[in-house]
Amino acid sequence: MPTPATDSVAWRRRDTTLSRRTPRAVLILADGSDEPLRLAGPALAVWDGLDEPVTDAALVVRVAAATGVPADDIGGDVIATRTALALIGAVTEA
Amino acid sequence: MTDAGTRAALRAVAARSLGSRSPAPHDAFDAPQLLDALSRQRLTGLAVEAVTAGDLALDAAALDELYDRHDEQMALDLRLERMLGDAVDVLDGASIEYRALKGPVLAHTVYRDPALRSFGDVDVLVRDRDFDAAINALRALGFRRRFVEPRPGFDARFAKGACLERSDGLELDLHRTLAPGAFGLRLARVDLFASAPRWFQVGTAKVAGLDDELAFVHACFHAALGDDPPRLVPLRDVAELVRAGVDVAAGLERLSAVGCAVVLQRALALVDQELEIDLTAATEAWSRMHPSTRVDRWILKSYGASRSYSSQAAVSFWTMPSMRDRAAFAHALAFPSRSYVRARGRGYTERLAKSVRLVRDWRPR
Repeated sequence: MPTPATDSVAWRRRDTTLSRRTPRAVLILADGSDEPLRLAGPALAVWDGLDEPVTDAALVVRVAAATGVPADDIGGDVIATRTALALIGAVTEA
Repeated sequence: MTDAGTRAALRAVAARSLGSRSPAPHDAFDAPQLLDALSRQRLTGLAVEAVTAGDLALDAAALDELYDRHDEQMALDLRLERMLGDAVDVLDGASIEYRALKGPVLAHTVYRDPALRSFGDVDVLVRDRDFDAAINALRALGFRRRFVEPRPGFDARFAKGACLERSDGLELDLHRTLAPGAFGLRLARVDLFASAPRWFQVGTAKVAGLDDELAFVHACFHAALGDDPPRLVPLRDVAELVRAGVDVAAGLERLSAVGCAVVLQRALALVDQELEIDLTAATEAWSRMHPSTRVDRWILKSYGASRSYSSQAAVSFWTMPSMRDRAAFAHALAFPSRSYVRARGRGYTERLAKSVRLVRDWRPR
């Protein structure tokens, strides 16, 4: 079961997750999923931020920097997206 | 805005960055027509690259449409890659040696970016002797034959392969050779497993693909004997492999040894004609000294625009070197299994009459 937001756990993309970058999005297909998921906008920034192991707190900072939205405003959505990605098996604890 | 302008823009996209004489796409094309053609030809990745480089100008609505279509194609590519990874796991588990072919292999080993080489199905080659066992093993993933074979064991002995499909609509072409018809039978004399595979990763799956030299041979077969008129992606594959350093002259020599040199010559001619990329430098002298034979041209005709399974079967019959093979081939097609006849909706008498007529009409002259 994926762990909720915490600063002690680092997250990374799972090696089994297939992906293709497109001009406005990234398509990802997690192991066990039938249909690819399209990540765009801030969700795309979350995926980009997970290119190396990162804690939720650091991920929020990365996404805030990439999108220009204050961390306080975007933090909840970032954690929700990362949690959803963990639930479908696209990211895992590092 | 003309059909010719749209076709020219399509060709320019397909040929981009490979030294084509064709000019960059201009605005004399119909955008909806071009977008449809780009999707049909699975060229959205190259079109996106052309837009990004400023080589293809689309208005905002057309650009949105292109990006949406590209996302759809990328989603399909990912599903197919996952299926390929699962399939090779199953074949490995059954100790069946295989080689992945075409799309995913070239996307990951030859093209600059996998997003530039899309595909609509997955192709896997196995040895004749493993063919039926591979089909049985792949049943574990929900695959079943799309078409019934004329008699048990027919495909493993005479066909290019079999198309396998799943309930989710995805298809896997299981090959035993690289082309249908007489040239496919000739090429079957080459051991496609003799050289080491070209390995690539799909997620965590390690996949064995054909090495570049054989991939070039296959690309030429696909380009020259595939659709008529030819699809543009197989033509680009030929050019990409040459750009990657494949030795064209060595390929010609290899194919010449099994009576298939004309296939490579035709592929290069089509690349020149359709993509305006001249790759003939290494083969020009050879081609002058070895013009195609009457038999070569007769076989090629069976792959033309008026091709049919039946005409290719008739030409295959006449080009089989062994009388024993001919007898088995003719018997299977003239007297197929009941399930095959039912699937084709034609009675035995009508089949027999048609077989005799075809073999007579396609007799070498």
